[in-house]
Amino acid sequence: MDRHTSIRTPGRQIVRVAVKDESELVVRGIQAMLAPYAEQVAVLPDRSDHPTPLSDLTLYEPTRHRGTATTGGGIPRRFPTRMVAYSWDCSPEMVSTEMALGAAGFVSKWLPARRLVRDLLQLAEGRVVVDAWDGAPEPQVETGMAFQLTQRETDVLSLIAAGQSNQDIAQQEHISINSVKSYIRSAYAKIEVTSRSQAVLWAIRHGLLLPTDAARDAARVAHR
Amino acid sequence: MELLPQSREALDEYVATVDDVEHELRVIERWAVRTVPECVAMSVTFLDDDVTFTLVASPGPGAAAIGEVSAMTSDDRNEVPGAAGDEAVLDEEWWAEMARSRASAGIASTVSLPVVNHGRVVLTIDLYASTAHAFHGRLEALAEALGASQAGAITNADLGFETRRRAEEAPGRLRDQRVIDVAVGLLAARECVDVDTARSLLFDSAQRAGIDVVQAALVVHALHQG
Repeated sequence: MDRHTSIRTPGRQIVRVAVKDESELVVRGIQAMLAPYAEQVAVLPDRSDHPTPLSDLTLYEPTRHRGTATTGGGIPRRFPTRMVAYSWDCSPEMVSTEMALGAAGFVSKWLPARRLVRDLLQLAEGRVVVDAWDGAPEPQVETGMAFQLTQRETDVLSLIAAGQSNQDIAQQEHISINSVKSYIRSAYAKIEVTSRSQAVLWAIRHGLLLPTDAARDAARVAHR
Repeated sequence: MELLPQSREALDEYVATVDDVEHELRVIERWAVRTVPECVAMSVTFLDDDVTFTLVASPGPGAAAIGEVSAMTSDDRNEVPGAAGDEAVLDEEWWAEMARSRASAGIASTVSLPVVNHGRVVLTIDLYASTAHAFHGRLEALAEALGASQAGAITNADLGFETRRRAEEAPGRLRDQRVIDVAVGLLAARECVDVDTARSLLFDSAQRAGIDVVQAALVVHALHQG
C-alpha cells in the first residue's frame, strides 16, 4: 500500500480545507505540500475579497485575525465551517487563547504533511485536535507525561474541563466514584492547582479538550 | 444513622482535601452517639464550601421520621396537644404550633459545635437528640471527643432541623457550583486572566445583567461551545 494512502478511510469524501486570507505563495505552498494526499484533502484559497468557497474546515492565522478582548477575539465567525488555527506560534498562550475563543482545533505550521493531513481528517470528523509541535528536533513530550500524569488522570482532567460531574466521569471511565475523586486529587497535586476553575484553565492551556459533541453533552447534563 | 439520599448524592460530587468524607462523618457519628446515646440526627457543614451532610436515625415502628415534615391530615389535628376540633383549624397560633411540632419530629434538643482549625472555624457539627436534656452535662465531653470548641457551642438553636433542609439542597448547590467553576476556568482562558479575576468578571457581569450567576455561567459555557 502506498504510504500516503495508508491513513485514508475507504469511502470517505475529500475534506475541503479553505485557507483564510493567506498570500498566493502560502496557499500554493500548502497545496503543493498536500498534493500527495489529493484523494483525502483539497486545499482552497479563501480571500475576503472573493466569494467564500464551500469547505469543511477553514485554516486561519491567529495573528492575522486577532481582535481585542472587548470585541470577543479574532476568530472569523461568518462562515459556517470549523475554524482551525494554523500558526507558527505554538506557545501555550497562543493555543490557550485560540481554543478559548472557540477554535475547533490548533495545528502548527511546523507540521509535516502527513501529520497535518491526519489532524485535518480528525478535525473534519468533528474531533478537537491540538497539535502544537513547534518544530523542535526532539519529539515533544506529551502534556500528561511532562507532568507525570497517568492516562486516567489526564482523561479525568479533560472531562472536568468539559463540565462533567463525578458521576458522569465514573460512568464514562468505568471506575468508581471514589476512584474519580482519587484521580482528581492526584491530578490536582501534580499540576499544582487547588480548584476546579484552575484545573479547567490548566486543561485548556494544555490542550486537554474533549471533542465538541461530548463537551456539549457534558454542559447539557451539568445543570440537569 | 443513615445518610439522607441527598447527602449520599452530594458526597459523590464533593471532592474535599480529606480522602473519604463519609468515613469522617461516620467517625463523628460514632463519637457523638457514644457520648450522647439519645442522639438521633447529625449534620456536618463544611463552611469553606458551604455544603451540609445529614445523617438521621431510622424511626421506630409507627414513629414519624426524624425531622421529617409531613402533610397534615385531619387525623393529625387530634394528635396535637390542646387541639380543639374544627375551631382549631381556623386558629393561626394552632397552625404555627402544629408546624413546629411536625417540623422537629423526634427532636427535643440540639447543640451546634464549631470546629476550629488554625484559628478559623472550618466545620460546624449539629447534633439532635430525642430528649430535652440529652446534652446537659455532656458538652465538655462532646467537644473533646469531636475536637470542637465548647466555648462556641450553641444549644437548642435548631429545633426545626434547618440543617436538614440545607443538606437536601446540597446536590443542587454543588451542581451550580460546578457550572460556575467551569465557567470561571473558561473565562480565565478566554480573557487571559487568572481565575480570581475571571470569577470577579463573571459575578460582576451577572450583576450588571441582572441575572443569576449560574445563568451567566451557562452563557459562558454556550459561548465556549460556539
